[in-house]
Amino acid sequence: MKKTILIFLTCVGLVSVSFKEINKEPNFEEILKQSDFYRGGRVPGISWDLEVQNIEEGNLRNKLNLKVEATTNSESQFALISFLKPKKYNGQRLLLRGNNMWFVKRGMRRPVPISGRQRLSGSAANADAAAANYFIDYDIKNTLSEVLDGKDCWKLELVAKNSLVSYSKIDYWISKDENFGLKADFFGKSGKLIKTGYFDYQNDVTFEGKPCKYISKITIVDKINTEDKTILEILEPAFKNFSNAKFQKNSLLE
Amino acid sequence: MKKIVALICALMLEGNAFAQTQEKEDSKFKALMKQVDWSVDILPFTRITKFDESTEGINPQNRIAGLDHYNAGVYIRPDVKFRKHAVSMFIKPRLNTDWREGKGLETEFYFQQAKLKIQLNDALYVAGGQYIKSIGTSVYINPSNPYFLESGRLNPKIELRPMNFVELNFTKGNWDFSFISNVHEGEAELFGFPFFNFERQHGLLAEYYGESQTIGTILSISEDKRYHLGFYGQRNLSDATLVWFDGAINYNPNRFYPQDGHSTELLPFEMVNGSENKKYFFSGLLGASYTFSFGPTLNLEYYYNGKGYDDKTFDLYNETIVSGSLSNFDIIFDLSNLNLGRAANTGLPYLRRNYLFSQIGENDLFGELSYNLRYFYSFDDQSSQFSSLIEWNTWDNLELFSVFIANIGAERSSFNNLLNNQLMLGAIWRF
Repeated sequence: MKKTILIFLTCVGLVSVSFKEINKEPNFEEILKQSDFYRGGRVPGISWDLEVQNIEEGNLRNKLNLKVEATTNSESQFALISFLKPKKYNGQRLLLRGNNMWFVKRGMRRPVPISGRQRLSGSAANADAAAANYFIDYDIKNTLSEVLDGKDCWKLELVAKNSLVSYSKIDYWISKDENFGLKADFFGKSGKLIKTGYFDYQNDVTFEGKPCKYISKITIVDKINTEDKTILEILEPAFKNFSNAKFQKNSLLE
Repeated sequence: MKKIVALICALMLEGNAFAQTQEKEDSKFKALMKQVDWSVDILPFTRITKFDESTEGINPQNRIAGLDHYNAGVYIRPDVKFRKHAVSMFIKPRLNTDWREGKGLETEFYFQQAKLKIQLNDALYVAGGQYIKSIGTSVYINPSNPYFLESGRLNPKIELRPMNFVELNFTKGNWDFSFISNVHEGEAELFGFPFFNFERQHGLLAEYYGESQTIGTILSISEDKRYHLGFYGQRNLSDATLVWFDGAINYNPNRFYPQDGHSTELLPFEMVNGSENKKYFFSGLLGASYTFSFGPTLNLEYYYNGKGYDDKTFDLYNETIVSGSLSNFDIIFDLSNLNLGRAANTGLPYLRRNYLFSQIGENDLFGELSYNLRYFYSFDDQSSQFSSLIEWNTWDNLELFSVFIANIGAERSSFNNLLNNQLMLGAIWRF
């Protein structure tokens, strides 16, 4: 009898444990952080070259080459974006420290503070979609399990923590097996869908001794002018240690 | 025969060794060149200027400012950066050739930037050399900057002259601390007789970078006991709106002001940098910018210039100019020239006290056009300045630009007392 009770209790216990395992809520904050990492966020230092192709009405309008150097610490995210090509943009640099931004181009006597919207004007208008730290800028409002192009994904509804970011809401699909962010719908302040981003991970990197796949391409499709799109190719990503001096305003004048 | 073969073999081996050494040298050179970034701007231009040279003005018969109605030039501006490990060097030599009306060609060479920076560890660096030290937040003028009082009203294609600095910078979290000292006047103008004596000024700067705001303060003391407490900050209110302030309290600043009587008793007035400056002055501005969804950004600033002249002092200033311009003989000619020179370069970025600065501009319009239209207004004498900068990137490495400045107001108003208007047309060839 004792044996029967013991077996019964063990079975109940096992069933209970299995039930808990099955219904264990994933840690979505960790998933979001991990997906940020694969897109360039949440690392002490990273640099890459970025090739931006702006396509309007199906035709290549222009091509830009940028160098991105970024770091994320517990308090903030810093990035220095240098325009390399075409030559007319050479010397333009943009410094981001949290939501503070300064811009400088050749001949300017001082770095000029700019707003998020000002950053987005001109040829780099879509580069904001490459911002990597969704975990810092957005809260997770809702989660769903969905299949995207045959892949099991978490769909996270992200809402902006403040009015300083470009998009008030992002619907974000993250693959369940690898935590890669695969697709993002970007919504404006009016609630209207403005753009959709698709993310590819073909770069190979080694972080803390572990090899992994890394962001290689972002395709941003305009939802208003659907023939307009921007392709951002991430080349030669490399983890580096940067001193904070790199992200000082005065370094823009050097 | 054996000898010949041995000789050929020896020569081949030597040649091979030489080739290997050469290859090593080449790869070393290539590795070194990878650390170097360089570019060159070649800027040919022409400029037409209309200025006041009336006998009762600040520049009678153009004898004070020596301006040109028409001039042209070619400025060559290389920019070389070298970074290896903890050492960075930034070199920007300048070769300016000007053709001046009646004076022919004049060539000048100097370094706009010659800076060495050594990163001692992740948080600490030392730097020194000749460069511009930018402090503050404002778009046009930074009262908080004790070293440079650039006003934003000058031609943006002409570079501000640098000074020599040494500095030590320490970073802790979101805080930056710098000890800064200007050790030599470098290329900065306004130093030397009859203007100001150069004095070393030692400053301690603290800057905090928040998530969406930045604040900073600098306390500096000069060798001649001139004190300066500067402060500034900026905050993003939304993704389109930015606000900022920038100000300073000065004790005993360098500025010329007019006073009755002359130390030689030969002239009725004198421009002096004297005891009236031994008090506290406040200067500060409040600014905001808004970026419209269709592209342009509008900037507005209100600037209070406590060091500027009130109505009474400004009247005296104009009397000094008139009397100086009429004193055109013997010894008083030189004394009046000195007065007029100081009246033209008072050390004040703006002569009066209350100003509104506005600007609308946009970068990279249609991928090839940038424009900035500025309007500055003096509430004290209702004079103003309109200026425009238009840059057109016709080809990848060629920019055509125009700068137009028009000063509007009464004859001896603060904006219109020297330069009436100017048009500069030029190009920048980048490679």
